[in-house]
Amino acid sequence: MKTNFFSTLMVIIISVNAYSQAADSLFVAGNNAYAQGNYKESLRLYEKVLDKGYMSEAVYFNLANSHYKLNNVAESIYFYEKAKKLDPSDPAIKNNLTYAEQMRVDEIEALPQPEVKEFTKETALALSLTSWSWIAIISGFLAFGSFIVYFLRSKTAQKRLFFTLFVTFSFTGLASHLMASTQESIIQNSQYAIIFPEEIKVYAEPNPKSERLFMLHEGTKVSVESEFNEFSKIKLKDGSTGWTRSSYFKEL
Amino acid sequence: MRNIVTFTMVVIGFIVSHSAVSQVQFTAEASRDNIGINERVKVSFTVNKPGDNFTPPDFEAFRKVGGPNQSVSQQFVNGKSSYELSFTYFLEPQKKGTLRIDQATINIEGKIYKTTPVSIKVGDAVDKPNDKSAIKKREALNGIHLVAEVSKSRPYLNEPIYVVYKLYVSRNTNVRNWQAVDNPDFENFWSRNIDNDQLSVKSGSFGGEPYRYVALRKTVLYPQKTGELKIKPLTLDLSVEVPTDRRDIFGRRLYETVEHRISAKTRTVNVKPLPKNGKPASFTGAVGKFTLETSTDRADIEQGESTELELKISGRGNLQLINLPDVSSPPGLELYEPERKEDIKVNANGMRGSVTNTYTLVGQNAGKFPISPIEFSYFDLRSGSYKTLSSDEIVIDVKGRSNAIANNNDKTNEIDRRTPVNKISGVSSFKFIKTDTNLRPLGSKHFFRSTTYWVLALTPIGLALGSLFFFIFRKNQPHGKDETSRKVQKLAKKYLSEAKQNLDKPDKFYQSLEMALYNFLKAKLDISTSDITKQSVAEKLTHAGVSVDNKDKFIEILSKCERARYASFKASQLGDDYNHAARVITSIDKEIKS
Repeated sequence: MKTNFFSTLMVIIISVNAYSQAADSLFVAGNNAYAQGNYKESLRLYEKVLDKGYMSEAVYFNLANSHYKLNNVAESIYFYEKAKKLDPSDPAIKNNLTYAEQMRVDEIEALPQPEVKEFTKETALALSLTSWSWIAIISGFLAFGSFIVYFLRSKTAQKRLFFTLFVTFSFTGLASHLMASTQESIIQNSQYAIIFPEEIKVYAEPNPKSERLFMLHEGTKVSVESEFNEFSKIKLKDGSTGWTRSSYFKEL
Repeated sequence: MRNIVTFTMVVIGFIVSHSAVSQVQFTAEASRDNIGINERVKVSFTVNKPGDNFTPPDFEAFRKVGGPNQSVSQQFVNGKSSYELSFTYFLEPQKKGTLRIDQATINIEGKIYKTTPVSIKVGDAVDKPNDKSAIKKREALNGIHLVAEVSKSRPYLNEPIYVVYKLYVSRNTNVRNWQAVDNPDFENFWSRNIDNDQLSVKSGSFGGEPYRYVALRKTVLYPQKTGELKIKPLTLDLSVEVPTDRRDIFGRRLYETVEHRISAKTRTVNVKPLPKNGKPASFTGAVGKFTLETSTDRADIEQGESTELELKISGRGNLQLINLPDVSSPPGLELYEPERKEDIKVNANGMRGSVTNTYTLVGQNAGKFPISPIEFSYFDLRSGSYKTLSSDEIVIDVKGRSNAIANNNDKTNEIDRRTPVNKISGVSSFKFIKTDTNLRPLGSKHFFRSTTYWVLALTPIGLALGSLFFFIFRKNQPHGKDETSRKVQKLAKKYLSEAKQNLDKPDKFYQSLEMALYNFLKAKLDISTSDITKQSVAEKLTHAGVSVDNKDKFIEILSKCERARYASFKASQLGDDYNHAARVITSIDKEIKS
């Protein structure tokens, strides 16, 4: 029974690896196509990686770069945002996203947020989610080590030192975990979407006959608040809300 | 008798007339007070006494056609004399509206008299002017016709049509000169006259008879409103040569020049609205056939530089009336108000040419700025459907400023030129793709909060808790199999410290002190609790190489502890005993180690 389970697991792991290798080679081929300036080809190859069922922030980032080179505003912003969702701390993603955002027509100013909140957000986004996780784990182990040494040592000075280390590492571990969960909630809490058509109308009610509030253009990021029939209530960074057709945007 | 009657009548008449004479009447009178612009009016100024220095008003809004005709009539009726001096003018209005004939003045016996002003309403041209002089000449003038021909009577809104005014002249009359009196204002039309400088006489027929005709004027019209629109008639003044019965000495027929006013009939055009089906959103009213062109001065600019974007619509149609589509650019690229340039020629078929909007763009930030495709829709008259033109997307590439700075440096001296050209600038650039990746199945979660994460994160906590429990367990079971000497020593120390805490309670103090000593022995000499007797302890201590002095001291303390169970001790002794025990333990410990 036990051997059976393990052999099945092995088979799964190997086959997953084989698939992953195929996807990896597609990714590399995509990179080569991009380097040669063949952006349509690189786009196709990166999309194939996704079709195979694989993803990573790098795939999304490269896909977005290819779209940017082909002047596809909404698509490039969409994939940069996807990459950013996987790794909100990556500076290259942020940098290229600002380039892509410059291509869009709408300029929406964000509402000011309290400084403490802003600071926490910035700190949480300073490292990737995985980095925070590993810091938490490593700190946990170091705290445990210090704890053991603290117990085994008899000299007061050493005991004091290791106790301090224990407290520090415990705190670091806990703080990292909190930072990671803050970042996670930043990623998950808001359901964002990117507008794809060149120009859309936003209405006061989920009904095209109602008052037209404003127009939005391709590539603008909105958060989706609720849905009704074929309409969705969207909210902009500046706090204004309105209804538009759900088919006009693609959720991240 | 009869003479007497006559005489008296004369006398009475004289008296009456005398009284009447003293009353000066100077009046202005118009034959009609409501005329069409192509009609004439007779205005006469009458005075009933002879006067001098008659000054007519200047007929500003009129043209004098005839006059002044002066007539004097003096009548004696039944001895009553009446005098009448009149000045008659024939006037032709020059414009429409209510026109005023000002006062005329006359000097009678040193006094100046004035008429009251007369106002005449002048309306639109009347089809058949019932001017007396015209009636006289009508027969001769019947051979002259002014016809307005409209190219299309049911055009679409904004479809160009033209109206041409043709003057038909029969073979036995001549027209010397023509002058437009009332230019129709073509309400609800965009209009443009195309005057023909060189009129050419062509042969044609009118009402089945041979005529000569001249196309006097063509006007291109773009209807601006749907429904029935009236084209008001054009009115002309003609100098017509009418043949007379007289002949000159050579027997040739003499012609008389007659002023004749003629107007075309009012024409009605029924304008169709553009079809509603398939009207594109970008349609703004352009009708015709157009092409759309966009071009940029330079597509690659440096930060802070400007370039020009030209949007040109050319073709045929209501070019002058159309609005060019708006251009929208991303906020990082500043777009200034366009400059409109028109190059339009108008001929009988309508307008043709081009309208150009030139925008100035300034690159504020580095990056790529696509200008979304510009759409322009028009109604194609030939196919009767809407067509939409779309420009290609234009991408303005704005480069970072580093190069601009390098260019400025060219002016400085040679030493500066030697500095490396490719300075690394602080300007961030578009980043290249990532070449390394760690592919994960789609939809896989973040490492954070994964099972692995929780296992790894909770392991140290579990381990810490486990070891904590382990220590406590070990403490509670001092006789456990795998106790280590170090731990027991710790316990011994702990018991000594416990003893220290009980310095004021003799019973407990000695109990804990004894325990501490035993534990110490257990740790150092590997003695089990069962075989602890004074003899065995002494033996073991000697065996372990402890000096006799220390051994004796240790035994002494042990026995003191035993005695303490039965006898009581003074509290002052406890401190000494504690210090003593501690000293002995440390010295024995040292001896065993060495």
